[in-house]
Amino acid sequence: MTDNLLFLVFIVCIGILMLVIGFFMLFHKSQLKIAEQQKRFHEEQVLHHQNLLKAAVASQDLERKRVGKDLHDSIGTSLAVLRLAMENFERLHQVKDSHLQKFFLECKTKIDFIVHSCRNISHNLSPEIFTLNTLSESIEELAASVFVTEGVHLEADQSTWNYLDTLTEEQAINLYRILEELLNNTIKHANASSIFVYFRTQDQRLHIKYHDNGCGIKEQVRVGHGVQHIESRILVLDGKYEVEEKQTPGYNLHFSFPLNN
Amino acid sequence: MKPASYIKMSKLSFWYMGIFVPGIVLLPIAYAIKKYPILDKALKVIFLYLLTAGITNVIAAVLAFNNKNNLFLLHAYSAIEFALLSIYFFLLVEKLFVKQLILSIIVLYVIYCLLNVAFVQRIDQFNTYTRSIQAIMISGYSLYYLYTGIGNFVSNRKKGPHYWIALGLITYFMSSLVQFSFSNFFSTYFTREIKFWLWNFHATMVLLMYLFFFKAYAICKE
Repeated sequence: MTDNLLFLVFIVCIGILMLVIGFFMLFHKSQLKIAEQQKRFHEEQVLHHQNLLKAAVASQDLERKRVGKDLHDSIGTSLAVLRLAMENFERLHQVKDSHLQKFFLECKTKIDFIVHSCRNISHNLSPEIFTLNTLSESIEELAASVFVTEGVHLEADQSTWNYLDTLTEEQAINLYRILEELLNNTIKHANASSIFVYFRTQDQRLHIKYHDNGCGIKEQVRVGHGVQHIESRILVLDGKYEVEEKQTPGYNLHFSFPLNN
Repeated sequence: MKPASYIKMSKLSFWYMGIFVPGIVLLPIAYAIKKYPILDKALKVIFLYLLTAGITNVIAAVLAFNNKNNLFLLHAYSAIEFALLSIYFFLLVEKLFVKQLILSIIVLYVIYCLLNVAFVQRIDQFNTYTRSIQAIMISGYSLYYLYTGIGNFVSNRKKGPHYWIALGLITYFMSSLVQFSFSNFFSTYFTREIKFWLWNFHATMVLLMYLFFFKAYAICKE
């Protein structure tokens, strides 16, 4: 036997070392691949969820618009025709009986009330922010309405309102709905007298700060449908939000979304 | 006088190492013939390698039956085996630099084999110096290929068979590295019984490699 054992032992050691390092590298790379695949899968899931949410919100808005329009055009018009028919009947038959006159007056008052309610419901379902009004005008209307019905003063920073009217239709609807939901929560739960809304643009994003002087957010409201609704709308806008609880008393929400969405 | 159990074991080993394991090569060969039209170039090279291994085994067995030293075959077979397996990986890898490196390694290895047989290890001895280097090189190729293709072997059906072939090659060459390196030492200093065990282990590793190749051809699809 003339083999150089030292040389052969050296070769075997090199081989074992290569095997160990090789398998370590294979294992490490496979772990990285798995992590990468999991991350991609998670991102796809989030995107899918977001798309589903967008589709759901868009379809909800479309349905609200359709119901609002039907309510306004169909029932509102029918009631107006009914009122006109009553007036024609009164004029043609020269109703003199005081009971009958009183009855007609009551009916017309009721019809007017129903027509007014229909208009309000229709408007709530489908605000005319993309037909007749701009978003800023719609927010002004909303503020006036809240003040008249609930006595809550809504103050909005109007210095950057020109940005609001450049938003896309989808963004405008979502922003309007978020503000509407926030107002609803404040009125229902916060016992506030004033609400402040600030708009600011920075880094191609629209930042909105909502603040009320009420008692702050309660746990049951935090997980309620209204809050979920707000979260969904912000998500649809590809936005981010943060509830600032300790800065000032009351409820403080800061949310933002990209303008060029 | 040998004990009865030893004679029994040596007969069993003879059938296992001499007939059964070399015969198993027919399994992947049969599958390769069946699927030959849909095999890519690299798998055809493995088919050629299996044919070479099969024929070499038959010749070696015939020589052994006639009590003739068949180790000279191993010297030639090592060079051919290495060249074929290198060509296999040459066809698989994508980087030009690695392709060129593999071609250079083939040339260098063949020269190394010739120099070894001419000046270092006689033709009737085990070629431990070349065979051990060969085992490391083939395992290195396989590890490199597995490393570059990780994560794609299941999703990419073209790469699936090569995954099994690379695994088979690593299994055989790395597990036999010690044996390849110390064959002459074992022949000189180990008892016949221990040598049987070692060569049975080697045969089992060959068997495993052939089964991996069989799997590779089995999953091969158009």
